[in-house]
Amino acid sequence: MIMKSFESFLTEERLERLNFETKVKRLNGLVSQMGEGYRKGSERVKRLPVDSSCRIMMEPFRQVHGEEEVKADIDYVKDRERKWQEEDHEREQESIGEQFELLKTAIFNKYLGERFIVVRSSFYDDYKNGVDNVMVDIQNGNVVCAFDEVGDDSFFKKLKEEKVSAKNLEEGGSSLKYGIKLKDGHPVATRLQNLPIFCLSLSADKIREGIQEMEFSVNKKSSAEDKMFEVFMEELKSQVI
Amino acid sequence: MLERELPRVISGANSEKAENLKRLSGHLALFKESIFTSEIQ
Repeated sequence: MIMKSFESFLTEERLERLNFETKVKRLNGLVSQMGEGYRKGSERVKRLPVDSSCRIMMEPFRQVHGEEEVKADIDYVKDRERKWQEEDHEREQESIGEQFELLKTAIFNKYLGERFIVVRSSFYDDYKNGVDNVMVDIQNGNVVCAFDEVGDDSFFKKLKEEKVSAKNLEEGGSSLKYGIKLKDGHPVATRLQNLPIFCLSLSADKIREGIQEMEFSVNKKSSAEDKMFEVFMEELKSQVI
Repeated sequence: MLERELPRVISGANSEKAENLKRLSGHLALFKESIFTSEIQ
């Protein structure tokens, strides 16, 4: 009897995990669909150089930084990733971090997509400059950046404030070597400096919960997404004003 | 927070840092105007 209930517990747990993994795949699919939309372009914003995970691609910047420099930066990215793999670098934390990046990229695109391009930064700017997301205002071309923290809001509040403050007030904001600005709706690949950077945070539990309750469609929003967007906007507000 | 802190830091900064912070401040003003409009929310 005890054995039977233990078996059923394992099955339930396994099913739950499989169900969550399926949802993460669907979230990947949704972000990929958004990336595809950017790559195809629209009336207002022409074709953007982003990959299937909505991340700014580095290769098109050869004309800006030169062939050799871009190659060196791509090598830097590969080298960093290889070292992480060798060190087995906090895999679980990394994976929840990746899920959070996908989640907020999807949510910001759903809620702000009419006004902003919201993409993930190039791997180089992610690793070198600590920027996770890049937001480009479609109307005035203004660019801001965001990074994220997976953690409990109360615990991270102080740390987050310090990091945001140091990046903006001490370092003069963030830089993007692989940045995008818009000229008449056409993306221009360029280096950008002195961009305000903000931090968005969510606990691991909230990230999992958010993914569980998400609508995996570009045009549909769940009440859980409404709440998460509200939290992000409040966070931004408290850091801006 | 940033909007309130910037003027103080700019006034105490050397010229190069102040120029960087002024550019940052310009980006911030544009962002504030667009992100918190009722149109988006």
